[in-house]
Amino acid sequence: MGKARRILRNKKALTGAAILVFLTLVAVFAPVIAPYGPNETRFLPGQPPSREHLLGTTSLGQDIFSQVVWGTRLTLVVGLVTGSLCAAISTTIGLVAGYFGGWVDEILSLITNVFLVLPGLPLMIIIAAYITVQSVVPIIIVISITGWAWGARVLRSQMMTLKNRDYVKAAVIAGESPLRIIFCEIFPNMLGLIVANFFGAALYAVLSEAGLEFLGLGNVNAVTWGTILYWAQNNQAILMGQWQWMVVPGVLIAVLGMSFALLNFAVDEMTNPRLRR
Amino acid sequence: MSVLLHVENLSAGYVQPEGRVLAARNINLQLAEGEFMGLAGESGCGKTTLAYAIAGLLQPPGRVFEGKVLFNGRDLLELSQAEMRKVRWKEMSIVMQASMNVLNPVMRVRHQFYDVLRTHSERHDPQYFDQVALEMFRLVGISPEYLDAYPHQLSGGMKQRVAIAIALALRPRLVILDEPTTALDVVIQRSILQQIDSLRSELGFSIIMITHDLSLLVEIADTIAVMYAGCVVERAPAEELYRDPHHPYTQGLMRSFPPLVGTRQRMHGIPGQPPNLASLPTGCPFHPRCPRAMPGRCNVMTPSLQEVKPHHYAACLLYADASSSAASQA
Amino acid sequence: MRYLLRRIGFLLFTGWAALSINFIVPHLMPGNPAQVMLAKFQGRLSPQALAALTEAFGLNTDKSLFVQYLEYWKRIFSGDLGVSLTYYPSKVTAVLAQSVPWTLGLVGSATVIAFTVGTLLGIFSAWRRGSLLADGLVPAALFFNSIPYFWLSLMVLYLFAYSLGRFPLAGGYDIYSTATGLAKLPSIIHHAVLPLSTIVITALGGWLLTMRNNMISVCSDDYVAFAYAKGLPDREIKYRYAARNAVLPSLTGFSMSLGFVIGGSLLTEVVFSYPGIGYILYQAVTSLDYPLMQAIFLFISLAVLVANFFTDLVYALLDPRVKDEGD
Repeated sequence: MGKARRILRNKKALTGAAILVFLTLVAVFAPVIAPYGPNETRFLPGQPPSREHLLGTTSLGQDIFSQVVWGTRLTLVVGLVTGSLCAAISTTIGLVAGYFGGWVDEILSLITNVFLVLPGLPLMIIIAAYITVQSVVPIIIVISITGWAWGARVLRSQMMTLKNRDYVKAAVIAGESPLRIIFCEIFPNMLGLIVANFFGAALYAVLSEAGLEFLGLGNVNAVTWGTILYWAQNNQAILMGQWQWMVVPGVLIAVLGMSFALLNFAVDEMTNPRLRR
Repeated sequence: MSVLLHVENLSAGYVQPEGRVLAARNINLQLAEGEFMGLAGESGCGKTTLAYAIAGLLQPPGRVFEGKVLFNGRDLLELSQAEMRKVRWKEMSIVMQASMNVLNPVMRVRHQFYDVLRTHSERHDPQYFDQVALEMFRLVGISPEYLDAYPHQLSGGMKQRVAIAIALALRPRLVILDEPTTALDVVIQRSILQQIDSLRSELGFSIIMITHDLSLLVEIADTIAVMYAGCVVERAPAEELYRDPHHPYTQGLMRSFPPLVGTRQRMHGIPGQPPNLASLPTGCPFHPRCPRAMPGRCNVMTPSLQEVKPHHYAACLLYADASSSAASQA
Repeated sequence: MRYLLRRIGFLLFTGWAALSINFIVPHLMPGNPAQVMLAKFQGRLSPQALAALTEAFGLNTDKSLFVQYLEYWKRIFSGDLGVSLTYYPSKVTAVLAQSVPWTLGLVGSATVIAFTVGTLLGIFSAWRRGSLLADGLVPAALFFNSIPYFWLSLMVLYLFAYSLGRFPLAGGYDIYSTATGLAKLPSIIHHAVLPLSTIVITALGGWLLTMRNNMISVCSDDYVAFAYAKGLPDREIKYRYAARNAVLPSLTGFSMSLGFVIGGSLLTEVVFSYPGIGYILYQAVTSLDYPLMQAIFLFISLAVLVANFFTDLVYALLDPRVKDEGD
């Protein structure tokens, strides 16, 4: 298949995918890779890296390495779920607004523009702060509600370009229902953009998730890379010289984010012929 | 009359992941000073690639693979960017196809004259620039108030005429026109072409005009070269081509245009589709569609341009035996 | 003109939306945060303050939601944003007034620098496509764009402030110095270097990539080819033809990414304990100071909207097609 070969040849896509696959494997095999449970506090607190504790221990006596490994699971899940939800919202709204036009488009575009302009993080913080229940679910919902606007706008303009193509007009004349046209005729031609949008949303989700958790919103007792950083900050990790407590989760977040960014960029490149060398 | 442009064995095309695609193969052309040559052919036959190759405008993945473009004796393909820049516009200008978008959307039309005058002429005074611009506008028939307009305020036809005006501003020695009148209505078409032609007689520049409209060329060109699948298949003085086309493709083209006067005739198109340049048929590229193809010969041997009458060249095996000592290159 | 009117209209509408969201959110949340907050401050607030809080958060179920909404608007227009719980008895507006200049200075200059440098580098990266440096900028930009703001801040803080000790660990200026007025400037700048650099580094990448993509797109447009055919000097084509057109979509993107930059800067302020709005917001969140939180959100939204409006104005100045829009 030409497409598969093209994907394999694109270095950015390859790197991004490799990182993602690696992290997924770590998440899946966490019980095997991590020497201890993430919340076991029976170790000597504040230890520097050693052979028993590759990244040392926290101020509460947990093994940092185990935490990081176990944390991969929830971080990935939240990131991917949020990204998917966010992408689903933006795809639906973008496609509907673009296809139907008229007042449907006017209303949806207005809403989209409002959400586009309102600053995401402060809004998220406000909403999340009001939620008194300690869970990651509100985080997922909050990020999705605030992050869909950009993707919706991009997909809407693409849809508006495509709906004027001849094959769509032919389908309309043939009497296909709008839903069928959107999903069977146009959707496949927008796949590249939709996939790129998903990766963009996932990147946004990962960074926002980390930001909110760092501030202590969500569930501080869940083990994700973001919450590890929260505890590290709260326990003055830097000032105590426990730099690895801070550095490692942060680098991992950046790496995960970058994998999504690479995939986003690569899919964009592959679908937009002008960007190809 | 001296030879202004001599294209020698030029092959150009595009580098694709699957391999090279030749859009212009072994082209040999000569243009004299003040000559008007028309380059005719269907879409996709390589005319624009050829024009861009001559003008040094082929961008990757487009490339010139071999050959020479001798302009005034100098091979343009060998020139450095800086040297080529001196040739551009002052010696050779081009009006591109679909001039809808050749004007910078954020610059006033006036300034798009200014910059080319500033770069190439020795002058720096705006009065001189304005003078030139106004004269060019008069030539192409646009009211001078549009000098201060932005491109989006002009109609498609006007933008095309502005592009032509800018192309002539420096009185170059060669002007390449790539489908310059497709967006214009027939009346303006004629008027502009007549103006260009009269300017040509006055100033003596040469023209290469690319078009798929053979009927247009028959009237105003001196010479016509017909292209098919990247090759020149026939070349002759315009009137001669009109009266006595030799190549079956040219004959087909001639039959496709109804004359304005005379009896009504049934029109014949040319059956079939132009070939995919990436996978040409063996032998003569036209043979699958040719009503006079000779099986066993036309699908095996590739004809080259031969002189079939004085100054009249055709690349067809029908005449391969007839032409005796004519030079194989034309 | 029509364009301006449309933008103003949008500004007003979004402003209304932001204010309404601000009002609605506390009423929508499960788990009744207002009760939690009341319980927390029971012993510490005067009865009047408690009553005011009850009013503000709609626990006074005598009044309907709509009436409360109207009263909310009345309060906004009279400049009464309530009293801060953390900085009691300071009014919220006073707290805001103190921290806004710091954020404006920091984020304002960071955004301008990041946009300018990012755009220029984007032009370079696109124009010299194929060279090592130009192409190398792409993955570098991608990487820095994916780094969480706060994490880079932490690393920078650790490296330059803690380890190397070259920069202060916290604050907007040296609070122990007795300098006044302009003499404080060097100290202010010294304290601003690290947070500023962090924001610039992280934000720059996005604009670099956007501009690069725009340039590449524009360079395949006909008018650039025409400019090249005209034999114009390289620099003229690069700036007056390509970049001048490529910057337009970048400006559009600028408005949109402003919200994101603001968010990231908030986190940066938290890490550097920089006395701006972000830091105050953090305090407010951790101590559930709802009046302050809401006011901050309001302020940030309105500030972003105004900034957007100005960006739209600049865009209108740069793109002549805009004035004739609406035909």
